[in-house]
Amino acid sequence: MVFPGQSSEAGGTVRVLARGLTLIKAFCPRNLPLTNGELAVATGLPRPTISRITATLTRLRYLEYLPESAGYRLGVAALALGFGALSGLDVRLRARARMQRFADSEDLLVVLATRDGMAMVCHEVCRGRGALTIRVGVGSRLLLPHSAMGRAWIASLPSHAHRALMEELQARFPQEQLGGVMDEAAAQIQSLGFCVTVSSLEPDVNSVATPLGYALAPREYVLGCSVPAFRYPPERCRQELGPRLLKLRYEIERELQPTGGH
Amino acid sequence: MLDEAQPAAAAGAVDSLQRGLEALRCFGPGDDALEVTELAWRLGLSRPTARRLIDTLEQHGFLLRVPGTDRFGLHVACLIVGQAVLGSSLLVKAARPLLQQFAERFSVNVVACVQERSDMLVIAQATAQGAPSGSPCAGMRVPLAGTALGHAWLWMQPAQVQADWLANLRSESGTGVSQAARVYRAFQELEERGVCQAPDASRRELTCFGSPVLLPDGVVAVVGCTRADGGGRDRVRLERDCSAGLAELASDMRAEAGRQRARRSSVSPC
Repeated sequence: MVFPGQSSEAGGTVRVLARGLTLIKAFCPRNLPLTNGELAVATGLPRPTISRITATLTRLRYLEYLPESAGYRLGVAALALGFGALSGLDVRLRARARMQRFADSEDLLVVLATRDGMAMVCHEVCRGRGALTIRVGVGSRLLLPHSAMGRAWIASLPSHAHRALMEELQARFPQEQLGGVMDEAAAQIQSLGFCVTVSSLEPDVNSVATPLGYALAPREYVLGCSVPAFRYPPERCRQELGPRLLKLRYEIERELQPTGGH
Repeated sequence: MLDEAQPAAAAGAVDSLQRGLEALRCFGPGDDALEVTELAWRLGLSRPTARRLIDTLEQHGFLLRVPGTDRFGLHVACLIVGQAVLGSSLLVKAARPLLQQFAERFSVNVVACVQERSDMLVIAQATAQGAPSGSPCAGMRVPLAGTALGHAWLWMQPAQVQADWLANLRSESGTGVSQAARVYRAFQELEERGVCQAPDASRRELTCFGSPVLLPDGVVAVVGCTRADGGGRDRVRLERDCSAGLAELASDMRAEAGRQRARRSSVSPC
């Protein structure tokens, strides 16, 4: 993924592919039917271009046409665009068992996420039996500035990318004073290795997050957990939960160390 | 840059879109990252052409470069697109609870699939404790040829489609004729019991069963399960129980898909 303010290493891109990908992503996350006109508005692409691309994607069965609404939506064939292979991805498979044990033993929600646009997207979600916190599942999106995982990810960026993203965030969330909370998260990451947020996603839910070191994808994955605030007030998050999450992170990182097979 | 204003260029542009998406299909389970050269070879393209497609996919979050290398892995946008499909599918919604009940009742892995090109694409899956490991997850593809899932789908197709597939199988060198014979045997099982079976392609100790589901809109889905072959008398009992249960599951899924469709009649069940 290209960080804000950073250009792609290799210059040339393929315009029609770029447009097709933009159009496919316009259906996410809910895959509601969209007409060519609605797609043109959503993507900013000219309508004749949209018509050509929807025709191609329908022929390839990545889109299906719904005559009742004269709209399109993603067809099941779009599942073949990497989703299955991604489900068996090493990082998820290797992290899953340890994450589930952690969720069971601490009775909480633990998530492995990666950044997409202005959100952290949950790749893997494990919850303890009685874990009553936020309702998230695989594929859920948590806004970058509001989630502990987003703040941990931002804190791990190199300085030029950090600056560029902060400008982007201020433009996107003009009502919010983000500088203070982001500085605090960065300081916590630097001194403790994790950051804590208090009711930032939902009231009465506290969260802890730490960036995961993974050689194949450095600065991409973040590990986080959420707990009811009445069980884990902020101090307990810092003193008990954070160090336990760090321990889980180190175990997963050891598990993910390359064995020479790649 | 491709010029879409000219007809020839427009055709090329369509190719570029198709080829770019094809790059995402090059990754199989266990392919954490692939070299650009390997991807170019799998796509049948020159390295510079493949490179431009890969860079575009990377910029849109579908691929992620392994730092300091020329290797790329699948990335978050693939997950988001897949989740959008699964989250909105009435068929998946209808299948999930039924599959889970079935998996637990028979201690098996069970999947629901639809045909996609020459594969059966898994759209939902459930596993019971103690079932054989390694069941395909949603989004994975199982070859249509030589599998119980594929045979069950083919059985429901018009005669011409069946004839084309069988001709393809016969034309394959070596195994083609025996493959065709297996298809006929599967058709006979489906006629008699509504379920066919075949050994797992990679693990011969496992037996796979498949049963077609004709959905209310005419689409054919298939439910299938995998279980360890107990051998001897146990095997006969397992086959009988599993077969009957799977045929029942197919019927329940059809009914549930119909109910879901009636509730949201303006949306296709897939």
